[in-house]
Amino acid sequence: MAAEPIIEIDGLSKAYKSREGRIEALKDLTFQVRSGEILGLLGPNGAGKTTAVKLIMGFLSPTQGRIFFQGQPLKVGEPRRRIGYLPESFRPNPNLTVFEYVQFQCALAGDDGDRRRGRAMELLSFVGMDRFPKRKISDLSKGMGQRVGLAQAFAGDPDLLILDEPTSGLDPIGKGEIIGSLLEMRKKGKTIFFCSHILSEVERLCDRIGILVDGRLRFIGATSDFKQRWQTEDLEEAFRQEALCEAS
Amino acid sequence: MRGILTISLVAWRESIRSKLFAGLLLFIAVILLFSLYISSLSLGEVARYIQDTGLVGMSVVCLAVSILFGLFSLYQEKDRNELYVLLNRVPRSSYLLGRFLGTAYIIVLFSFFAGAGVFFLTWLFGHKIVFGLLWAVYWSVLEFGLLTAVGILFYALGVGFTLNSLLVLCVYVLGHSMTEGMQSFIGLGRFGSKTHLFLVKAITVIFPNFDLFDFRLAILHDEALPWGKILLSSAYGLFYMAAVLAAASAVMNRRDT
Repeated sequence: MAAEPIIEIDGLSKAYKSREGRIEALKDLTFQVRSGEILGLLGPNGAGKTTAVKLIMGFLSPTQGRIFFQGQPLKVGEPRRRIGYLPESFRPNPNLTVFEYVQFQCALAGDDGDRRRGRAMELLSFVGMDRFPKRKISDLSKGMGQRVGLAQAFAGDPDLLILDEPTSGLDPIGKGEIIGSLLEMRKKGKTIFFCSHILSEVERLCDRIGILVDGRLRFIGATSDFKQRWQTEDLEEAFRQEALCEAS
Repeated sequence: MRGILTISLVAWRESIRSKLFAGLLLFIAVILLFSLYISSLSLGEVARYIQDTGLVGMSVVCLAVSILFGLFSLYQEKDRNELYVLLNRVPRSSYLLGRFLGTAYIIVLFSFFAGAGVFFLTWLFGHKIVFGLLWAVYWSVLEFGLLTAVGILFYALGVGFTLNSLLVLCVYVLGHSMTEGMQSFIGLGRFGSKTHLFLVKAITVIFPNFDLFDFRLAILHDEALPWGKILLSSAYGLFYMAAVLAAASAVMNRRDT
């Protein structure tokens, strides 16, 4: 029996007005993220992945469609405290130390006093940053900054993690560490929904994938099914064919 | 409420650690030294020159705090995509209020530093104890608190940093020309009706009128400030600030971020 959906996206569309006319960034997006799974949303640059995430997080108002989290409708502009979020190209506050920053996020997530300090240290240890609690964020490498970003996403023990390009711009070691942390989270029963255009990490991490091209969801299902659809063993080749098919 | 306080404390911590903070402290010290130098050129008006120059320095520093700490940090937070992480945890109104409060702490601090500096120099070199300088600190906090709130409203409306800074400067300059403008109109009263006069008076209240917080002359001449005026100006400042912040929150709640 399939797990219960933790989040349901129903007919989500987003259009912008621009000088060139109406731009449809997202068209009738419908899917579910099931509890305990890792779902990766794949797509080329400009496919609408970040728009989809921002709509789910309530930062953008949809032109059409609804979003349900654990069966309850989500309103635009309201905080999603039960969802951990890591935005694309995230850089934490450079004037704080690593520990201060994670502690600050734990405080906003509702932890107080000693519990907050303990929780912050626990999160830093989980992402492998417990050796640098007093280091200023401005002195961190990009990979270390991303790990701090991941730690803040785990603050408040959220049921669902939404990550936008979590490994973008990282070297292979940095990528490996982030992927390791995410796999560890899955073992703890957390649900993860993330966007990426890096196929190797998607293949390694995801239970299911969604393919978004030009704002439209072209496929959602297991990676093996997607490869079978294009009769290839190579995810990259299947993805390329899907994208080209849309273009023609 | 907890979210507002947490954000304000982080905004405070972030500000006092920045190089700009040290730069503005140095600027206050330079202005105070300059006020001493200017006063040494005066003939028996040492205290007055120290106070006059020192209070101008206080306004310049607080204006810089409003723009550079109050507004620039908002835009930086958005550039770093940190805004989204915060808005995932606190309502948009709490975020704006937290940021506003954090800037208000810094305005209080710099106003106090400048006020205390002017007070001691006046005492040491002008041989006068002017308690009215405490009022100068109070009016400065009210004035630049309101100016920061106006800048936050422009931010919520989606205005970019450069334009926002220019608009805030314009609001500051115009807000200090209100009384003069109204007096000029009254001087030309024979050309206008009572309706015109009412409209002009209404504009000087609806547009942020910083002249209502400008008691510099009274402080310089060591005159007592009438309580009625103090209460009216305080109520105006606090009510205006609350209204502008409420408007900023309402706008930000409706806008795509």
